[in-house]
Amino acid sequence: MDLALSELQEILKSTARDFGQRDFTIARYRQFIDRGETVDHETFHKMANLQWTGLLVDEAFGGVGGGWVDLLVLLEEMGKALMPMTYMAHMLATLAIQEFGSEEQRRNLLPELVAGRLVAAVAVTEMSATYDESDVLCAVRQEQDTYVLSGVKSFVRGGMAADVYLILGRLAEGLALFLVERRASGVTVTALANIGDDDQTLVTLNDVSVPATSLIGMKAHPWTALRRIIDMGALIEAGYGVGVMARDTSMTIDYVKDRIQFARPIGTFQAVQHQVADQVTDVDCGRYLSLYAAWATDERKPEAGAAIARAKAWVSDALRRVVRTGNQLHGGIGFSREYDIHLYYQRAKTCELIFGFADLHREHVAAALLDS
Amino acid sequence: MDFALPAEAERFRSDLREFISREWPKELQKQAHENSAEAYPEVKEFRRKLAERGWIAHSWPKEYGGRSGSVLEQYILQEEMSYYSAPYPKVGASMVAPTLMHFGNEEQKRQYLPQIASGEIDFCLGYSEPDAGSDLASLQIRAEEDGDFFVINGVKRWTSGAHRSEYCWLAARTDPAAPKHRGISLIIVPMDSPGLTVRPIWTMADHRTNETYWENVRVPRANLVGELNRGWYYVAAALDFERFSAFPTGEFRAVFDRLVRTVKETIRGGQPLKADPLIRQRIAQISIELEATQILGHRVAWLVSKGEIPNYEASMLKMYGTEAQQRMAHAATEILGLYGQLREGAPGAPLDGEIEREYRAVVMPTFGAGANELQRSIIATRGMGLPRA
Repeated sequence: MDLALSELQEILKSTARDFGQRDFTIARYRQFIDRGETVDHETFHKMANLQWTGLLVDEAFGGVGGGWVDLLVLLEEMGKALMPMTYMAHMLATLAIQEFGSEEQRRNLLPELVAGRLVAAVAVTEMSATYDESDVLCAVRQEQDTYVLSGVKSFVRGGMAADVYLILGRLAEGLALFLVERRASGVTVTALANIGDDDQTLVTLNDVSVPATSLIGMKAHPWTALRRIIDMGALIEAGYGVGVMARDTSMTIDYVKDRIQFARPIGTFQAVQHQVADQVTDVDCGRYLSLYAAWATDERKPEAGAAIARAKAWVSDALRRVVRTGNQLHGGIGFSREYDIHLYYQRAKTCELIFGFADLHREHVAAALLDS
Repeated sequence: MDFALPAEAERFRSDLREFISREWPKELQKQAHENSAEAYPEVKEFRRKLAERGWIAHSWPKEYGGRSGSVLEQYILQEEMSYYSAPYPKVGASMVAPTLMHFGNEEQKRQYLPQIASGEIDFCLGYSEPDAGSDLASLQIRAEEDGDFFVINGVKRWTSGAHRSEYCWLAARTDPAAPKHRGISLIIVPMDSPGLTVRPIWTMADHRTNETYWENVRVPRANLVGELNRGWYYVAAALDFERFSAFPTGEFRAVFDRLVRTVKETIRGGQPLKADPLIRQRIAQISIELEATQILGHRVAWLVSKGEIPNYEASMLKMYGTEAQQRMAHAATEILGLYGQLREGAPGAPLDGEIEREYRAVVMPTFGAGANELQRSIIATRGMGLPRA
């Protein structure tokens, strides 16, 4: 048993930390918010240049051949710096293609995705806002050697940044993923302004025609494949969420050490100390549950899916608690826009909800315990 | 990063499980909870069998009769003992013995260590008093020097196990004039000493603890552990020796496993309990908190195995685990509804009344062994550097 990071993971972590202090600062984040923009191509391409986009991609396709623990180390640092979540959408799409695509699709697409020449996003949910198979209504019909898609996908993370979408649609035979170009005729993308200033969109498909080669093979095991996409999406989100709550907590700790009231730092008051202790506990447990889930995924443990569900359920609920306390202990100054802590409060909600908040994942845990 | 325990440690776990489940069966598990005097012959017999396998002193250095078993193995041993509520002589083996190894003299090591290892003796902790709980350093029991003896007068409270221990590991005041932390000494006292009376205190959890009255109890000066007036330092060290057992998850897991089985098997009003969405959410939440506790335990064990001192990590484990187990008991009574209140023996009492008992039992650990308020303050101050008052 060894809970330390490897040397490579330490390097990845410090590189990402430097990136957050130099390349993507909070000041830059605020500039984008002030302009009402959610897409930062420059930052994304810098990430691709650092090979972050290839982290879990096989070396045969130009990737680094790393594992989920590596990814979580990176994601925590991204969350701490509130880095653009385009990376996460892109990584999920990349992994879906790597796992479910044909040999030819992988050969054609993965190097482009790894290089960042192609930006991708996965579109699973629809207006019903669930991750249920039965709520996927986006209809797909086959016409000779094309597929025609009609429907509305919603809460598409990375929707504005993407060149190409992986659309989850329903054929007569069942669910499948389809590669759809943003520029294709019949595709409309509408931004969904949200509390976390995250790039999320509606993607409306009006008889969009795609070649037969656009089908990313999910037909064989549609349910397990969807489960796998939700699991990967949830773990990615949990990893970033750990970073958001870790930074919120460390900012809070720094603040209560410095803020003087009643002639002493407010960090000397037990009520403050105890709330901080609860924040730290929330972060530590979230981090370790997520790392365990990542490790179990890398090791192909049968309980990996349940472990991911536990991690995401924990992080979703913990995010709410941690950021509430963070703002509470910052008092008035934390409520102002000038101070950064509110940025964490708001982005925490994004991480809480995307790829399932706690109830959804608890149901998955319950199923593993009670229905076997 | 590797969350798996080494293969030898897992094999050790299997051996332990096979032994404990056989030698400490279900009927005895309940008795151990009650800490009753009547169960003592079985407790002693179990200790003797443990000793035969070398498992009391498994982690001790070979020079003291142990096997130099690894930290991870000792962690697993505590977990498995906890799962079966088996009476591992924790005070003697994990607190007294390491303290004597570090601070005791050769005579004391020769006298007590082999007897602890053989299961012949165990110790009770003479720490808390009516006026000294969380503020333990304010303890008042007086040990006055009289030639080659100490004469001890005072009262100890919550002296668990006093009724079935051969010795008391006593913290007493030997210098009333010194600042409170610097006037305390650690003394080993035979429980059959004249003047030492044990009175039972029965708790709301049907556990027995004790109040002990010390009236001119004479004990040889040779029973002083380490230096005079350095006792507080040894008390602190004794707590550090097996930090990973700050909260063994075994018992929590055992009760949860049984709760899950009950939920899977019970049909109420024609509906299986396991189909109720609210019950499913509650069961899942307990599971998540149990696994979080387990990982916190792994972390402490790993730090100790590297020779590091887990300062706030052990406090977090104790604080979080005790509250999570408390929440489980609360959720379990909600899941079982009206049935959750039934005592053992009442018609229809689920799990022979285990949940009803557990609900009463979980009241204590959140304030015992270092109240959770103190644990949170330790996390904030020692852990995160927040300034003290």
